[in-house]
Amino acid sequence: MWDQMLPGLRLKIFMTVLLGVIYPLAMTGISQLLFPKQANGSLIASGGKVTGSELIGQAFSKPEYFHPRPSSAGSGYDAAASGGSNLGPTSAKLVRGTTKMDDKKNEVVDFDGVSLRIVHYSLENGISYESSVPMAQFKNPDGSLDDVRLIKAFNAEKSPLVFTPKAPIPADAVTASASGLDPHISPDSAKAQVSRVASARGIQVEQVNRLLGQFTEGPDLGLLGESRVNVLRLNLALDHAFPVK
Amino acid sequence: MTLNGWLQIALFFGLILACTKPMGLFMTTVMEGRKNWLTRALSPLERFLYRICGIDSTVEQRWTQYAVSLLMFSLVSALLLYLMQRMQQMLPFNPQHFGAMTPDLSFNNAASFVTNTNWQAYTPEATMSYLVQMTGLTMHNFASAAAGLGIALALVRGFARQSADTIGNFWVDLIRATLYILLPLSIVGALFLCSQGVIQNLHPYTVATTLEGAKQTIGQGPVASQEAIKMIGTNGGGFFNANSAHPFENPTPLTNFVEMFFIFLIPAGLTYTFGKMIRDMRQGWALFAAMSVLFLAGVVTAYHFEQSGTPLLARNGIELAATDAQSGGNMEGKETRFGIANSALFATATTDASCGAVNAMHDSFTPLGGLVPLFNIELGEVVFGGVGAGLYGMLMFAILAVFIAGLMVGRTPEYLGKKIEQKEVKMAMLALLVLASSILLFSGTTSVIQFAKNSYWNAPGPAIASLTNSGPHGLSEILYAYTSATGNNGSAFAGLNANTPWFNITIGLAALVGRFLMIIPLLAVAGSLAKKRQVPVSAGTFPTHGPLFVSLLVGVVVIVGALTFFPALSLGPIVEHLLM
Amino acid sequence: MPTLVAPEIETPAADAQFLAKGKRARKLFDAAIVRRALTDSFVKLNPATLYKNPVMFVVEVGAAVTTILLIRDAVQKTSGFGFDLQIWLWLWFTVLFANFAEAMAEGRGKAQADNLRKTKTESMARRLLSGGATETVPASMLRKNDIVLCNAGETIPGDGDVVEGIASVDESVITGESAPVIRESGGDRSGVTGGTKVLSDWVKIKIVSNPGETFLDRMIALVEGAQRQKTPNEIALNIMIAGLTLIFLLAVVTLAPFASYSVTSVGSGYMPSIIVLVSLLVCLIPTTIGGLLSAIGIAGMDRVMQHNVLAMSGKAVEAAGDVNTLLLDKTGTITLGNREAVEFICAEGVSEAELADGAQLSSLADETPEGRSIVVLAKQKYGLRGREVADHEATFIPFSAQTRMSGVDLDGRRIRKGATDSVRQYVEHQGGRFPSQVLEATEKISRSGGTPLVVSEDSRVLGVIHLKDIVKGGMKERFAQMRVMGIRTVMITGDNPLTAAAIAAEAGVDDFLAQATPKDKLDLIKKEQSSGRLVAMTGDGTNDAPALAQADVGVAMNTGTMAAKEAGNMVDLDSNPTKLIEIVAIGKQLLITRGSLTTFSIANDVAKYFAIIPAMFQLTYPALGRLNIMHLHSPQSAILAAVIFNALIIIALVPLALRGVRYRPLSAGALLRRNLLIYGLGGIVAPFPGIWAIDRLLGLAGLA
Repeated sequence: MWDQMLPGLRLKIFMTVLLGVIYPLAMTGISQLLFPKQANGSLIASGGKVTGSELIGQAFSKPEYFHPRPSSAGSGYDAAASGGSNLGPTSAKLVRGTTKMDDKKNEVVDFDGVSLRIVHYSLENGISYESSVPMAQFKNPDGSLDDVRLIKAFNAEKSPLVFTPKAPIPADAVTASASGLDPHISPDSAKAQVSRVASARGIQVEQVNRLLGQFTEGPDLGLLGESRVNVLRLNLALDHAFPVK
Repeated sequence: MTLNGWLQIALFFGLILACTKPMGLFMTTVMEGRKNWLTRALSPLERFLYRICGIDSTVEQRWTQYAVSLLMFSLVSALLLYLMQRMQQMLPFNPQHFGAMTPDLSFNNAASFVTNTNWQAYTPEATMSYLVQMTGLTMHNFASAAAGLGIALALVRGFARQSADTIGNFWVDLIRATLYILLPLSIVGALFLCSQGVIQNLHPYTVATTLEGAKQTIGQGPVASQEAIKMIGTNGGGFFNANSAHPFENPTPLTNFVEMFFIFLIPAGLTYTFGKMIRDMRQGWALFAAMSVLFLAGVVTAYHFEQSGTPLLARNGIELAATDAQSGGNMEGKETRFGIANSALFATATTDASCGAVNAMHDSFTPLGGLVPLFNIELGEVVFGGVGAGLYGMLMFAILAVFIAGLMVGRTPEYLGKKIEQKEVKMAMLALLVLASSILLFSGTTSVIQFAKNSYWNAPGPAIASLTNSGPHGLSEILYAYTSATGNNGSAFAGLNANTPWFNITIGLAALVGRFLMIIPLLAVAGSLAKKRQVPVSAGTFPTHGPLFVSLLVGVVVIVGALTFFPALSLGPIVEHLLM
Repeated sequence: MPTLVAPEIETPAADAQFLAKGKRARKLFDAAIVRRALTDSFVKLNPATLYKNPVMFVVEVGAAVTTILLIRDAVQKTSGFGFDLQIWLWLWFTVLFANFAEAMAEGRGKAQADNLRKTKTESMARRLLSGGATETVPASMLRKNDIVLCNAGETIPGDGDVVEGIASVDESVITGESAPVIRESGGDRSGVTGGTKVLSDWVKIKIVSNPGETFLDRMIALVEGAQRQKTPNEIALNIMIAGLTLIFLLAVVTLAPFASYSVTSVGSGYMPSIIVLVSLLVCLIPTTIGGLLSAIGIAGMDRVMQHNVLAMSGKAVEAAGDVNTLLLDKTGTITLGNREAVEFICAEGVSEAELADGAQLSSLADETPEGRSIVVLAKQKYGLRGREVADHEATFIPFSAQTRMSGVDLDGRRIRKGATDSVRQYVEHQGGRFPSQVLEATEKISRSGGTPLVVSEDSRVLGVIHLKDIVKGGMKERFAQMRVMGIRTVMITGDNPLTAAAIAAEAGVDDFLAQATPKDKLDLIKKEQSSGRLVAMTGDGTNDAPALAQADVGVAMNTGTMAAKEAGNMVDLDSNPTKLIEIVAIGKQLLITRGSLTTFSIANDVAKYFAIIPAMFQLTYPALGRLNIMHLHSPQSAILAAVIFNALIIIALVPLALRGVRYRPLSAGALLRRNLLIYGLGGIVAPFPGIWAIDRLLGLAGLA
């Protein structure tokens, strides 16, 4: 029985050299030669500084930018900690969100939840809605929404908050991607953001739409996958064409 | 559900169908040691490996020797991988200066990669050096797949031979499968993937300054070379935590399509190899047909339920129907570029096979959408299945199907001319029993076990504290973990935080049990079958190539799986769906 | 319906006939057997014996656990006692029903053994001493190779071969046939069986078996099941159902922690009680086949016995189902034993009447069946009556090996009939001429498989008699069925290849072995076996013994020698070679019954899940109630109904297990499709209405 140990050990060593060293190094060499850009992460650099990767989504919250999807990678678009929320679709946490106490015993948002995202998405993008409680009641003095109170209202056992947007919300806009680094949003989700971006930049909706049209990709080979918009590339183009003063 | 979605599924299946024969023929040529178009280039290397490892390629092995070789190779490999992880801080190619991995995690990885499971309890980009990724994981991706292929071939030889003592040579099978099949495909695959944006470098992680001025650390590494074999060898262990959902592993729908194609390429081709080797192509196609039926049923179910989303989402005003400009449905844990159809298709394919790569988070699937991957693995991953593992698993079910129903034609059941008798039935039942007991016993224990304070095993309190989800979905997470490990799949309902000694060790054990306690009985079957004479076919022979056998086989696979796991599933995904 | 036509087993009516044909056929539920089986059902509860049946053993353990819990409940006066009591009752019934099925099957064998034992009285034997004198010893003292003398009226003391003398023997003890048979030394009718009775004359017998190993002993042991060893397929099936039992045990045992998790997580409802879990387990494990498996095997042996065939092992019966090639002796099996005259062909210038007259005259004294058939044909065709030859001066010339002719010298006419060559020689010797037209006719007859007999008068050739082998009615259809079943039939004959080919074609066998010697036969068997085929054959002579031993299924004729009987693994007490075909059908039926009930048993589980799972978790997950597609009215009644159905189905299937699933000679594909539909699909569907109906009844009776 143990006589099989030796060939096993030898083979393991030689296969490790061949498949674990030579193969990946050779692939690295060839790739660096043939596809240097792709092999190094399709990075976008301006002025010697890397702004990101075409393929990796990044967080945007300013109104003049198109916003990406919610992200569960680290604290959001952490490209060293990819991952999804892993919440089941029937999970109350996913739908209504949760709050927690932080170190200073202040109640803060633990998980925002789809409902809260819908509220934000509707309000930010001017989508009309119906709400069982006027939204004004959830506003902070500075006009921002009090997320903690909203989450608690959604979770209330007695007459929880019901917030219904009047236009359907694109599913991708309020759900986190699998990688947490999804560089894309759906064209519908982008369209809903156009007027906000335009007004924040003080430009015409048409101008933004035109750019959006350019950056809307159809399915690969006309068949594979979904239509999509690369948020980082679109925002870069926006900054380039219509810099914020 | 869109026309476009259906067309992609049809295209995928069509392509697999079209490649089954050429791939099968090529593999037959290679594994029978005949000359092929790669012989000139690779045979010196093949001979070199034989010589240097002291292998006599002309000597065949009995099933016991074959099994010993497999076990020894796996043992050596696992030990070295374990050591490498424990010492990674001392080894080169570690630009992020990751420290040594814990003993339990290292055990889990060693068990998992040796068994083609490739379960990942850790976040690779935050834990593992390039060296371990390359020499440890990439190498095992090849070796475990090649071993699986060899075992399948050994079993097929058992059917094909008469009055023979031997079933092939493990070392020869391993080397041939690696050199002629896996390596060339991986080279082509890696370069293609890289051309599409999959990274391949040894740089430290890039720190970018985002447009809004934040810092973003972007993981790097030799991904393409691992990505290709991860799919081709149905391994599934990703370079990144998000696996094939990560844009650096799977940047476009086209790469996604190619990766899915890679999952099924060898397993589908093996059905043809099988037919070729037993000299009856119809038998190979019958297995292919049975697999196709189960595959398509899975895809349709998953696609339907994922697109339907949940009433909760609908009530909140989310668009569930797909349009050209958004994919609708349950998009939590799915990538925009893949949408619903490709996510459902990928999830089905990866669990039909023992791949376990994911391009969407199975944990966030709808209850019945998520039941598809879970149930696929519980069926034993026999729908095309892992490299080799799918074929030998399906042959095990064929043996059972033939035995149960074969009696009904009034003859001692026979399959491919070999009488199915005590030994075959015993071994097939043993394999089935191992599968069921590993999944059910580990899951059952985990769902109730409590840990004391200062316990080595886990944080104090119940093990279920590791769950992200509660209620039925939490139970699904536990079930999925042990199902995936036992089935050597490696995908996860990733909400389970499994990086504790309890989970690492039990899941590692489940992987070992699910692999070796399944393989050894099947090698015994191979040995026993090889000894038998072939009974000539007559009108009294139970025909195992027509639609009747295909439906019987599908029925046995589904009913055995359903009867074994229905109680557990009813408290997991099924009741979750009913509560929805 | 002709006696030898196979379709007997095709229709329900014929099915009964198929069974009734056996001389030992008994009513399915004979009162005496049922009574004994009822007591045996309780005796078989002994765990020391029940553990051999893993499925029923698990049920018994479950029932025992339930008993303890029930006692505890009774003491503690917990609620739900009525429900638990009923479950308890039905779990024990489940075991009892399975025991009853086995006891019924065994009982039928035992009844038979008792009959046999009655005849096995201690008899005295007269052993021949070396000097020629005899000594009287008890039969039990006889050893192998002793020679005994048996006179009329005496019981033959042991199995043996007649070495001297001839006697008529009453073998009804063994065969059930009251007509006496002739036993004589030499040849193939020399075997005698201990316990049979000499009716006339005397014989000297060489004893071939030691006491306790005699044919009768073995027969008793066989029918009693004492030697019943599990057959290979039965063992394999047992492994499978034991494996399934373990899997279901796992599924049910692990349901407890899953349920605990669910109850804790939801915060309502209770853990299912142990009694409920035991109920689920018992419903899931394949109790139907587990309970009936041994009954099926015993009943299969019994069915063989009812056909008056003694199978030395269950394995042989099972192997009969697997047979690929049947070797059938032409004479007696395919053709009626004798050739028959069917036609007179005249030589030129001879009238048919003249030929017929000559043929008849030459055959008047010919007592062979062929000779008689010539007389009959002449009578039928030409109205020639058999004449009283005594009136004439007639000298009959008997057949001799030298002349190879027979005939009669009558009133100066020398009429001869015989083989072509012999008659030709005879005629030409007398200066006659052998017409070429007659020669052609003989060749034509030979080619068609017949035997030509040339008739001559003095130097003149009258013509040819066409003797033909008569293939038994219905054989062609029967062989066609065999072909459909995938069984190749090979005819074994001593005839020349030409004749053999013609008969083979007429009978519709697939192949033939002409001019076969015992060695040819043995070689053929070996050849078939070397290519993986299983071979069945019949034989009676001592020279058949090696072939009988070599064949996978060797059926020896009871009339045959002891050597032949020892060599084969079955003995046909009726000595009817055609029965081989029925034995094959019984073997197949045995396997089909096992397979069908296994499939049925497993398929049943689907419905039971739908009944029990929603009931178990009604409080924790009311939503699971949507799986209660049978709309069972309460959780208790749902579980009870499933358990009751599970128990009753065993009893309901006892007749099927004992009688066997009806076998139809169809191709494997057709057979499978049919049985899968009935037992597979039927097995899935049937429990739904069954459980539903029991649930209603329980509701009406107020039991749950």
